[in-house]
Amino acid sequence: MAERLLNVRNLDVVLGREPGATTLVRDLSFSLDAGELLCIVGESGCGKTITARSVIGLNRTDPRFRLTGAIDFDGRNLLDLDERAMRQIRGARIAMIFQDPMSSLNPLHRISAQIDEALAIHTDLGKAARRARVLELLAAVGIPKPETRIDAYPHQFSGGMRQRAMIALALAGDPDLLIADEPTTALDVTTQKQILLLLARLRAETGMAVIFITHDLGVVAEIADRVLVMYAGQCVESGPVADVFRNPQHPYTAGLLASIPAANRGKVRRLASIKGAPPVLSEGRPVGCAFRPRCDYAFDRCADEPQLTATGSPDHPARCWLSGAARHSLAGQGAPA
Amino acid sequence: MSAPLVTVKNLKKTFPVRESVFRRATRELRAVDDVSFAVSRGETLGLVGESGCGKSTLARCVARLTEPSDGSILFDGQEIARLSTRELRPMRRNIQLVFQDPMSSLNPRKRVGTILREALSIQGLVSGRARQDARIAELLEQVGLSPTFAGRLPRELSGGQRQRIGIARALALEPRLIVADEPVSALDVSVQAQILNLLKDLQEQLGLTMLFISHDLGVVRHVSDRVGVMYLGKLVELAPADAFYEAPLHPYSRALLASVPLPDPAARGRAVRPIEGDMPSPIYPPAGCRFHTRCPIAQEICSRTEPPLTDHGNGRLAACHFASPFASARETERAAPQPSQAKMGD
Repeated sequence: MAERLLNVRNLDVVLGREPGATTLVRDLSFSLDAGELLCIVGESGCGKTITARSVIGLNRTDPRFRLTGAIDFDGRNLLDLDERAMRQIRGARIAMIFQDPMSSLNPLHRISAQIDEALAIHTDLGKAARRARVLELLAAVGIPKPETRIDAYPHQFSGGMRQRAMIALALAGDPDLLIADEPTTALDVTTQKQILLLLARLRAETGMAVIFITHDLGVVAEIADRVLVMYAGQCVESGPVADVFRNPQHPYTAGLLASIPAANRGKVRRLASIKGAPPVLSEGRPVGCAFRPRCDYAFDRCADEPQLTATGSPDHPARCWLSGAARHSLAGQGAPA
Repeated sequence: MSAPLVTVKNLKKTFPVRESVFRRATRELRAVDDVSFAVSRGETLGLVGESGCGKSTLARCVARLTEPSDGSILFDGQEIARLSTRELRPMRRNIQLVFQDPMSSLNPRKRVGTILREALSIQGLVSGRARQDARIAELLEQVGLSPTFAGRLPRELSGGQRQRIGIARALALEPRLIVADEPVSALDVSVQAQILNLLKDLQEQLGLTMLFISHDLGVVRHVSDRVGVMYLGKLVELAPADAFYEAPLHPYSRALLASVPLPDPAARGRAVRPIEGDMPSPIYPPAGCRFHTRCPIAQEICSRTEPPLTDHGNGRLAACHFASPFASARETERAAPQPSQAKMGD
């Protein structure tokens, strides 16, 4: 049994002060084992990026945000650490890559200098050893002829190469957890495929765990061990990837899966779609189940907020009155079958 | 069979490139290079390709937002490739565009009603305030919005609603051809499906012809009757959609399709080798077949002779010396396993 690396418990992230504060992430709990790949999936504004930034502590010193709950990483609650202690973890134990590589890479510095800086901070290697390690890292992320590219500037790299350079930078501290926020969204499909294969290989080589944030269910199906579906700042369903795709327990997950015009599906007369649009949380969260205004199965009970409860299959909870255990608790209350 | 609505022949669009700010333009970037195709009435032709393949430039040429450098575009029998801005004006209403980002194509300071009214007034299609109001209400209903939306500003709308306004504006002029350039790429998947359904319904109701540009092969499969694939300014394959997705003829099409992540965990680990490297610069395209530098089945001839787009029967065209509906062993073999991976397996 793999050891538990990360355990997020009842995380709330609130933006702004009362009145007018917005709860961007609400009562979110999830865990991650060492070496595991968890995909967090959801549409724009569902809170997936905020969750990731909270784990690595990018918004912890921002006075506009208030974080409550617990983020246990390797036995310590990250929310209790001071910024100094957090800095020991960030970049070394937990690293992050982004959609836009230029948000990590400094355009004014050579690639070699940037990775060298990370090595100087997080390792005790000497100068020559660091240079050798930079070459090793660039080779590991598949940059061809790294010895000729090591002193290039970011603008001399193509989009896919920059993504690789950013991954090399993230790997410099030899992290136990890599958080990848939509790292392939801006790439063409052939380049995306290269990067996904690269991440799979690096994970196998280093044994690091990965939290991969995406809106693309195709990418989830391709790489995830487990998937967590977010809607309006909450987890609405999570579970092993094959289980969630085969047997979605929340109407939102089912709706998302049905509305993909997949390249391997024949043409249908109409695509299934979800009516309406995701709520804008700053304008107020829908009362009861947040998905109720868009849900085809909504009934009276949905005015009460459902909790994340176990369903029939193991390790696959959902937040819906009509799934699993929640349905049983409704029995005899006049709920639709 | 009636004549196609649009016939594009040997279309070229080049942009001058300066190698330094102090020099004159010495090279040219061939964004669209000798492309020919036709779109029948009522048909949707989907154009796919990666960034920089020239698909948007091609769309802008067909809509005459830009003047082609060479070649011909026949719209309903009329040559429009060389028309001046003034000559174009009376035929503009026939071809309308839908853009990717409705926020940047709608004036943020104008209300939806005003935006739609402008379209009607400029072409003098509907005159008189009352009749325009009625037409605006009709257009909004056609795209699935209540007529009260006429009073809203673009920023008060969600992304999907904005794209509906973009479509309503295109429909205002009762066009015969819609050129849609990545119309759903900026939308979330649940909303994307709504817009795709809307486009399909409108096409059926109004008998529209559509040129649909997208990088998303799934979306293109869903809307298109035929599919064209572009690579570095060239059309490398053109085929009926079903045949194309079943068994594409060009190795680039196969690589592209094989790279699309499918929403099915059981399809994981398909035996496909990813295409290697990056797309070459369109300023210095490879000699011969432009794909030969990355092609898994390239032979010597491919670096010397450019393959023409040839007919392979049943309306399927491909530009490859070795076009075949079957992937060769070299395309399907997996990349050699990494030594460290082999270790992990022990």
